[in-house]
Amino acid sequence: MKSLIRKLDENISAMAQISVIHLFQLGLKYGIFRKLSEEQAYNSFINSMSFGNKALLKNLIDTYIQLGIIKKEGETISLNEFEYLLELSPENAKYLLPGWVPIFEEIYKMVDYASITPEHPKILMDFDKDADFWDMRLSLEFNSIYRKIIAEAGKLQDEMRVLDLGCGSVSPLEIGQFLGPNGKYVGIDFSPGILSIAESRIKSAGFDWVILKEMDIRKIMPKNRYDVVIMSFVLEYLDSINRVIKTVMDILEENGKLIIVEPFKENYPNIPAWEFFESLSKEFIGFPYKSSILSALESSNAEFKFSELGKSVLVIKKM
Amino acid sequence: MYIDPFVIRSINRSELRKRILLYLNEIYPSPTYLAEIARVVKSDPSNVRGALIGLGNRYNGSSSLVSLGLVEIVERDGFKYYRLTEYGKKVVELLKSYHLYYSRFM
Repeated sequence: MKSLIRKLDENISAMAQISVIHLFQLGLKYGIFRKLSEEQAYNSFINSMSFGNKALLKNLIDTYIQLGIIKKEGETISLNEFEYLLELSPENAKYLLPGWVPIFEEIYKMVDYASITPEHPKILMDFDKDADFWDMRLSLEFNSIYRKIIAEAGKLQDEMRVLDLGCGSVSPLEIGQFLGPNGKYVGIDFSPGILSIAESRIKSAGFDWVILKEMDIRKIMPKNRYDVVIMSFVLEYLDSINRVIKTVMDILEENGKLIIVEPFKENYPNIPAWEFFESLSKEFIGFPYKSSILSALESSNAEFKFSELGKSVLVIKKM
Repeated sequence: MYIDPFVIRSINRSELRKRILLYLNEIYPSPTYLAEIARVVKSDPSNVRGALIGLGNRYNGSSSLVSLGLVEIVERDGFKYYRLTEYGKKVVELLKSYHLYYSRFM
């Protein structure tokens, strides 16, 4: 388990680190750094750039500001003195997985198309229209790693009832396999495309204890109770997490667990770089802070204990 | 092994290339010869040749199954046989998983 957690954290860290480099490359490619070697008024700078998608350009500049590459004083912006240390050691390299790199490269390329128009057909970040690309992402070894952590942390086994919010196309099979034939896995996702891919896998595996529902998790009102609720890489698409967290705590059995997997913002200083690329998906809002999850739990009035597994997994036990 | 999503989508739109891949997957890892593929997929050998290695305007070489790395040519005793590659096998697996999903767009 320790090694899985380390693998998860090291790869998340690398994803954020590599994203900084690609962000840097964008600044060079679009002449942003050259232009900002002299102070510019924010708005006139945005208007002067030949970048069709101004909203994306603003997001890019704001990300540079967050990372300290560009400084903003009042309404003027300019390039900062910036240096960046890329960390690689034999110790952490043994945990790094190669599979996610080409997928991220594909996403980095999409920025060029998005700079022309946000509706460009080569942007593959729509959960329904591009469910095939999302499935390729969700099928990576990286994603299997956190599913294994979830299975172990939740002690998943036959006869348990599990609710997976934002289940995607692979978890119904990979998580569902632990719960049959007498348990129950309910996967909820708002993308019919993703669910249709999951459905075909479930059907060929014969997992009749797996139920998939097309629903917006912000509006769920489950009637049944569950031993484990899973939220992996889903909170970044919710504008307010309080209501969902409260609902989840209400439907958890006593001693039941809520397992959350996320690159918590306070643990990964370079995360704004990765967030910039994820924002090509129009539903993306931002990775959550662990502290906002804990405060949502506090305001749910449920009694709970929590433990942290590394830097990216929270296990909340309802008392 | 990275699979280009645009390759999968392009193969999915081409019924003949898809049928060839599915047949080669069925007999994998065995190779087979062109006339046999044409017989099974019920198409003309020249069309099958085009889908496999490219032919004139209809199938340009860069989108043929061999140039995309999905099928390889095995030469034995002066004869050419065609076999699905490991990469091609992964693409077929995905095509099968996405069948229901893609059928929404047909």
